[in-house]
Amino acid sequence: MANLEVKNLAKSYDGKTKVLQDISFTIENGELVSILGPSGCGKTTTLRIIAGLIQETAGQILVNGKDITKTPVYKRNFGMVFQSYALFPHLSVFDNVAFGLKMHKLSKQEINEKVSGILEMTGLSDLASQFPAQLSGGQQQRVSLARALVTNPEMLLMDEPLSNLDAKLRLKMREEIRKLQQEMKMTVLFVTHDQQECFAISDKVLIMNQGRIEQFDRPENIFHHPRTEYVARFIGYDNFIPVNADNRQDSYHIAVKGTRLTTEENNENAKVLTIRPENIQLNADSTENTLTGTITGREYLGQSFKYTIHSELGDFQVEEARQKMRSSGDEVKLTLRAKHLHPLSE
Amino acid sequence: MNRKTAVWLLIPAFFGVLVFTFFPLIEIAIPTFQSQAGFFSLYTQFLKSSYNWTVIGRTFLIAVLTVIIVLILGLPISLWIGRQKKTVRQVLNLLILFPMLTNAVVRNFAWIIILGRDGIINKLLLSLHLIKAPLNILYTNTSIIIGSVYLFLPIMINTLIGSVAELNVEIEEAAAVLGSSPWHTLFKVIIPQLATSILTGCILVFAGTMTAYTTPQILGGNRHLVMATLIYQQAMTLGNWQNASVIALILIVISALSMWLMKRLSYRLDRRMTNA
Repeated sequence: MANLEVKNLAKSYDGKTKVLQDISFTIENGELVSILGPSGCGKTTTLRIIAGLIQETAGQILVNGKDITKTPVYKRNFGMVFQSYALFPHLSVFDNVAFGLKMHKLSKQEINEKVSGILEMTGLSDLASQFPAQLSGGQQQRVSLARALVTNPEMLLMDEPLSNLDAKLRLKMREEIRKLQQEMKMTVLFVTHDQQECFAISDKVLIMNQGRIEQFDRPENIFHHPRTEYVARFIGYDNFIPVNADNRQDSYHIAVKGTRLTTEENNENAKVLTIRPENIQLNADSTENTLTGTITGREYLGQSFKYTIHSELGDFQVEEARQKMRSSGDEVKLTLRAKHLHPLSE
Repeated sequence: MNRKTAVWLLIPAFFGVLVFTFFPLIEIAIPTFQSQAGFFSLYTQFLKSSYNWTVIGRTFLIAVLTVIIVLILGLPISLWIGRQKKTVRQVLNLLILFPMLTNAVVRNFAWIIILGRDGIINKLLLSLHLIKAPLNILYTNTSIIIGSVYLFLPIMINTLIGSVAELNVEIEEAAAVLGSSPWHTLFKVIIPQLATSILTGCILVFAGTMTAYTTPQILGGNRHLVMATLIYQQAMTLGNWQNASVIALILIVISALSMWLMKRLSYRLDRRMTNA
């Protein structure tokens, strides 16, 4: 397996609309990196350009330092798993998996050994002579994975591989994929629109929006330190307090509409402050970053309650784990702990 | 309504087929076995003649060559049209089928103008000094094949377009990522997926060419008879209706046998692709 370097990738179909611009990132050997974003953000386009299925408008793709930008798709030696699995309907499971090996002109014996090996590893040995139409979605997914892995590719590209599976199977498959990836020390690029899925299995996450990279970091860093308002919204930060230069007192203190707020992070370029709904405390015994508000809406979430609270700084979404639900119209004190209050510059 | 009562609804159709298809066939078949010389004597007599074998062979050869040429021409066109946007595809498909709205006799006469000694093709080749004397294309097997290809190409394309449009492009991309060149993908991934439609198209074209009358009559002339024109000659020129019936039945048997063979092949292919 190899490392992948993408440099200043850009794509435009008509010369005007930029589908991708200035996409640069590196995937180290043996890392699983996810591209996360809503549909139309360019994540699949990025993956397909790396695979060689679409031509880039500008930029470079390097595998182990070697420029493969001009190499045609069938000479790149990647493995790819498609959303539709894209199995060959006219070939048996065995022949589907053997397809890539035949392309690499291996001997019959080698092909037999390798295919049998990977079928066993993916639990498909009993299905070798079946045709794709006879398999369940999960089995087809496995065949597609086996077919991609058997050629020992430089890296594995996965385009929303789990989105056609039901919820339970999706959880199981993602664990399996992660396990397999770590055992085989595979370099994987994984495209998804499911935030939970992507945070659960990735070494690093690349969040895209409108053809640009919003943030590229480890999942926990993204979760605790979103770089932009877009990322914060995408990963569940529901509360945003707009600030401007006039509000700023010093690098760690801001006064908005008479409420003085402290941040642990430097807020010099802050345009907005954000905090997760579960990080706001109600009626806490503290004077740190407090304001008062009235409960105007409430929702039962199972393990917690979600309230909409109107305050002088606007509406706040607050999640509270508690035995008893608070009543609408109750006046409450909100505590926005400094360590959870993140200033965002974009 | 359960299955049993539903069967009763088929009765009108059943009688329709019986009266309009089955009875006429029996009507044709019976006299062919009523010769004084013996039950099969008309058939053995017919098959003894080497000329008749030439006609059978020619009919078969023209049908097979037509199928092959129609397939070679139709497949790339279908692959291209089938990949267009739905609206474009529908317009192109309509254009492809448009010639079929014209009378077959008119269309065949158009080919006389094109292929004749003073036709467009000969004039063009002469003016380019590629040939010294006009070629004899008209009234040969070649002109029958050209006419048949023109006649049946739309049917093949129309049969294939739908299946091409339904192909999952990701399957071809998967092949490419696995190292398959575009040509290899065409022959090992695309065509196998279209196999059943290709066979259906071939059956339609084969049966159509085997039994076509107008095209070989107009473009083949009297020296290049096929079975259909031989039937006409026996019945209408010689007034030998018994012999005409014999040839008609032989033609039916050959066509049916060929189609049954292709259908079997298609069934075997089909069983793998669909959930068995």
